[in-house]
Amino acid sequence: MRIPIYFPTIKYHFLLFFTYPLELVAYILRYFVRVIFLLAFWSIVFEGIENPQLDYRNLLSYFLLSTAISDIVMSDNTNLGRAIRKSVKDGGINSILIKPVNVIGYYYSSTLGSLGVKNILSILSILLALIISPPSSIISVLLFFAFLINAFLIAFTYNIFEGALSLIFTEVGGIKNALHHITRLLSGQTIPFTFFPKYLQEILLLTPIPAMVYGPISVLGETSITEKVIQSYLVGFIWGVVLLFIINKFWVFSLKRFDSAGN
Amino acid sequence: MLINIIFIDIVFQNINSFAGYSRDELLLFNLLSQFWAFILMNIFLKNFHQLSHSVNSGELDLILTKPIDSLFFVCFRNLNIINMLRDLIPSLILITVVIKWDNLNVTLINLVIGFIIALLGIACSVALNLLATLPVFWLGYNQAFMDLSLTLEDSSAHSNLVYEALGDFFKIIFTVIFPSAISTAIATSVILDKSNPYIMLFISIIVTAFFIFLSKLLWGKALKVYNSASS
Repeated sequence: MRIPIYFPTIKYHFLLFFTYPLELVAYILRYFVRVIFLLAFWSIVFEGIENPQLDYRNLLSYFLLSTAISDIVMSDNTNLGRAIRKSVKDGGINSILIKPVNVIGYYYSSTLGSLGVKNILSILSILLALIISPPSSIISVLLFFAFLINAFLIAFTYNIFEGALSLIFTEVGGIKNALHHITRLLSGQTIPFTFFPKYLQEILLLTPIPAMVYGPISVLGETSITEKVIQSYLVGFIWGVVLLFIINKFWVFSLKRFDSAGN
Repeated sequence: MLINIIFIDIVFQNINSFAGYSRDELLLFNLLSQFWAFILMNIFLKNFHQLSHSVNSGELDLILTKPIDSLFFVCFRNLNIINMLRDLIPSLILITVVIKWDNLNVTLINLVIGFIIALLGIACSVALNLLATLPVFWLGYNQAFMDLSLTLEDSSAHSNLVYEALGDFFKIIFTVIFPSAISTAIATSVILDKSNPYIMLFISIIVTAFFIFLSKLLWGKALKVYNSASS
């Protein structure tokens, strides 16, 4: 795999976005609309709680982080999976399959490029969130990045699963939507994880879903590496590695069964 | 839909009411929100996306030569009622079963007026989304405008943000200026007798009529600047 090939792909798709300046403005506005109304909803919810576990600053920080993380790792909109799915549908994948490039590498680069502005906004959101509610210590910042790698690994496999499914099934929109809604809810993206009943929290923390969003956010409050943190990290890491292995096999399996419909 | 119900149940495990709405009242809000989403997304948004493509590919020429009102045709070009009902009915049944209707204060007159307002709101929503589609005639692109319009509409008055949760300023904005609240938030408020049904019906009729007129007017202007791309 020749890495330098992918940089021009990222650059090309990133610059493509700037061809339409008004679209860019609308895109940025949309990003803020999403966050502002999510906050509006939860601030009303918090008015009704007698002893909230989060104060308003923490709440604001939580949703800035959850939105940004889900965008960066692509767990929310599964942009990489969608790019592959669309390409399979319109036959565009055929021209990539015959090129001497790694198919997933190519689609990841193009998706990363086209999400360039969103990722910049997400990084700014993370910085803003850290200013509003500063992390407990430098260790928590390092842990945040370590947990972000787990989140990335799991979300990556999730995207590839969608793409691989589209290679063998004509329509995967329904499955994708179901997974999408489940992930949004159970990863802690749209609802703070502390809102779940305790027994459900304990069960969910053994699954890969919360590791995609709640995992990195949860460690920002840690001042040291406790047994709980290590356990939480290992659960995410093991899921990430296992899913990566399985999804790699599934991708190869799907690609062999892919029946091209393009010209 | 099931995920929405779980979401509301989790929220209501932590609070007793949301902006004066009980769990069942918020579920009723979700019922109307689902109805709006299915109609808008399964009929109109698909057609508006196709319209954008038609403008850039020149396919719109073929539509304009047909002996039918072009706006009507682009709105209802693909209408798969069976598919829509297949997706819509199970969701609505599920939520209808989950709501404890005895806990709701609903009268027949409010229900009828609320439903009429919901239909007017959907018409308003279609007009709004058409207005967000039209920039394609002038600029050649519109995707982010369509996405922005839908996100604003969904976030401001459909994602569990009830009418009473909006402050006075935003009530005016989302009722008159960007009327996203009519189809779900206002309709629910009227059904539950939290807003005056007659005043809300009057406002909804005026606003919907204005937005339909505006969208027809701008559709005419858009057609005047349309340059066929097919030749």
